[in-house]
Amino acid sequence: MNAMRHAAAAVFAGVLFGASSVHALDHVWIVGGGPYPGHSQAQIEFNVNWVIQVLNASAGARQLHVYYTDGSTTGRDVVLWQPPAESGASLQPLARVFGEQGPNGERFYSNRIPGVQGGTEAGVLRERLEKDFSEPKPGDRALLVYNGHGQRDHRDAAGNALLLWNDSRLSVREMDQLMSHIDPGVPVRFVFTQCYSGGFARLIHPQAQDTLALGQANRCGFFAESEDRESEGCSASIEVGDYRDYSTYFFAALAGRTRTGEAIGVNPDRNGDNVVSLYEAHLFALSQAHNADLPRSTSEVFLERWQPWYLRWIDTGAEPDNVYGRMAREVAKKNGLPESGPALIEKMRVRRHAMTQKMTELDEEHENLGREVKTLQKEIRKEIGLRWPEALSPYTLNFVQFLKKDLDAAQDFILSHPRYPELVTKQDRHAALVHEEISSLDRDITQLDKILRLRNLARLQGQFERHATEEERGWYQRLQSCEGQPL
Amino acid sequence: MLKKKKRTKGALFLAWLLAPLAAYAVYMVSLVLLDSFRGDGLMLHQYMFESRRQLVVQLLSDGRQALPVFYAVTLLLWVEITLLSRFNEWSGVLPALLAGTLTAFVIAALLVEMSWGAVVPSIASGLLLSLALAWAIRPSRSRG
Repeated sequence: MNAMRHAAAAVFAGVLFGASSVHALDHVWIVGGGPYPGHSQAQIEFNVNWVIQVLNASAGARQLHVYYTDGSTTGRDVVLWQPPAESGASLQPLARVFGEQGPNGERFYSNRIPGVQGGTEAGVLRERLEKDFSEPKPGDRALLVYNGHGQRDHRDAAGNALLLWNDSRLSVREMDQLMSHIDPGVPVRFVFTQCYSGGFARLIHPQAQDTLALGQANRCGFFAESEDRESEGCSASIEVGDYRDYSTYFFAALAGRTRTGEAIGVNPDRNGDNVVSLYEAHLFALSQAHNADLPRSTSEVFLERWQPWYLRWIDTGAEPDNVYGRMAREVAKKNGLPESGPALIEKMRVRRHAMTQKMTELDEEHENLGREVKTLQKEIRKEIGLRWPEALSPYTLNFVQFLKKDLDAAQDFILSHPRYPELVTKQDRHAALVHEEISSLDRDITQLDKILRLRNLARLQGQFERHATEEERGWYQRLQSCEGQPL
Repeated sequence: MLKKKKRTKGALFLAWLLAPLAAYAVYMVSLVLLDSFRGDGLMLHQYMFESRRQLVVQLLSDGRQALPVFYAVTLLLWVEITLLSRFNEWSGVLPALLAGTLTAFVIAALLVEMSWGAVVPSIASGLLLSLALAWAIRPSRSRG
């Protein structure tokens, strides 16, 4: 009799489990692109395609909702930049003299994102999301991934916004209202990679307020940057060296391979349960990325918000042995620094001093070069104006006639101008300073900031374990449990 | 006599009003020094390389929460030093300083953390508070 009861219970449990696993669905929203074609860089499109590939390759039933710039219309909504050829045929000599040598390498095309369901213009997107967000049922899970640009509200982080198509905006507060349509029983995860994305951490609080208490909804998320810093990864270039943004590393950890298809060198599965959670992917991005981002998760932002005044600045040299403490040592080691102790702080101080000095020098050189380039351009333009006055009035019929009749002669004149080689050298150096040397130095400085931040998080976690109330521990555990889910 | 009484009250009022503010300033300066010479130098780092506005906002917000605590500790120390001043052998600046040190130490060790970073700034501000209160309370003895 007992055996029969056990068998019946097992069948019943199996039916229940089976039923729940059949109906449980992951709803994923991918929103991406820039506010207008010139600011909708190819790198964003590449990122979104990469995220879709990772999602499609991962296990589980999933419903994708993709919204991108102008949607599936044929408008040219993406800009790709490639260095233009240094020849008359590419108009680069003329572009250099008129200061358009950068834009001259831009090409516009219609996005190649598969399965785009609509555009991202704020009004339209709001309506679509409002409808979509009411679909998930208890037992389902929701994930929102945003890849694009962001805007900062200097007065209130809840006013930080997504910069959407046609220069429209969707603020943290508006997103909170939209997400209130999702059933509170559905865990909502989000990944925001834009500039000032940390403002969206407010989504875990009631009405996106600046409080410690969590709202009723089960929300958690990951951000490329804080509420007041710009993030990396909005290049129009498609060079592999530009694959550095937060989502590149985050989704590489989840996919188990890099965007270029290579196996990732470090195992992101920190707890050894053979499943890489979103939190572990975040830790992977935090420790492995060599970029100018200081990413954060909602549980980390919660810890920072929790810290009471009497613990804020005490024992800032302490080095607790927890996940953040270990990561601080990993990042220090990776950057050729002592792993801990006063030696680390001293080395970091010396290195930062040298780097900030170098940065000042580069900034000065950049500014001086900018001035010199302008003087050279003015000089050559003046001589062109004497010979072909039509060339100085772009957007006119005169200019069209100049292009038709005198373009070759004018470009030959520019190429043979004694100061043109100097202009080319200075312009190239000017561009290299921004795109290579200053960016690279900024990334190196960020590694030092990252070590400090990780050490601080390690202390914060230690303080939280000793001082937090039961209610606060409950909130933190809720965030950790939400972040700790796999894709 | 009346003049002396007025002076005593004035000194107490001043001590009550200003000492907690000065003690909080000493507490913060101690934290900056400890953070700079024994810690990661986070405060200077935030001031020099991160958002100064955010640092100021945070300090103001912390100050709003900290000052009531400093006023409460001032009250506690005032009670302690007044009681001590009733015993001739325990009156004066030195016993007041001892009371301030011990009170600050106990508060930091029990309510915050038993560490240099918590205890040293607390004792520094406790010493200043007890010194100010000892100065304010001492003239009252001349009344008797």
